[in-house]
Amino acid sequence: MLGGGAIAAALNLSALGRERPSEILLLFGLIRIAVVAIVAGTALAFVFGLWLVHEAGYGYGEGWVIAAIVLLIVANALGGAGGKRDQVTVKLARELAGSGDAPSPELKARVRDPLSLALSYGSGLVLIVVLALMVWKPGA
Amino acid sequence: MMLALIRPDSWNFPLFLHILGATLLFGTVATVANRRVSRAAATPATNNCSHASRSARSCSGSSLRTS
Repeated sequence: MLGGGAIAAALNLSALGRERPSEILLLFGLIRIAVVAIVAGTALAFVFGLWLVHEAGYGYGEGWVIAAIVLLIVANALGGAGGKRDQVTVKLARELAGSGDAPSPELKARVRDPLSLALSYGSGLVLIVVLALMVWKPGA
Repeated sequence: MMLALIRPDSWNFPLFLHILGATLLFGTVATVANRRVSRAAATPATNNCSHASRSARSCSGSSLRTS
């Protein structure tokens, strides 16, 4: 999950410095592979995390467990919202790549859209908070 | 698993740093590798530099860049 997030961030940072639509299209396409890793990792962390809570003798009603589950959902919602905005960018990049592949200020602005970046990187930050909850287990 | 369950609280912060550091290192290596591969791909495959004359002064092509 965190590895997929790191790869997605790396690809996103690379895309920020690109001008040609075909390059941006390629990098955003690769991010989709990282998203698969994030989704698979999240699902596994959720299932095995709940299993571990039971095995270790913690309760499902404990505050840190509930907070972790809520934050996991929030992180996925933020990442999903950022991903939907990125899909519009991919569509624009595909159109531009097919019509000359010339750099476009509109595409550059979309790649650097502050809201999309805030949603995607915010999702990563929330996952780090979840990690902190897993390590410290406040209230346990 | 048992080791994870009985670890002392004093290990919490080092453990957090360990996982976070591994994640950041992974992301940084991926970013740098991505940029270097992209630069190499953007460099022309052929240039006018002969093997004997390869120096920064005699060969101005970007293929000699080391960074």
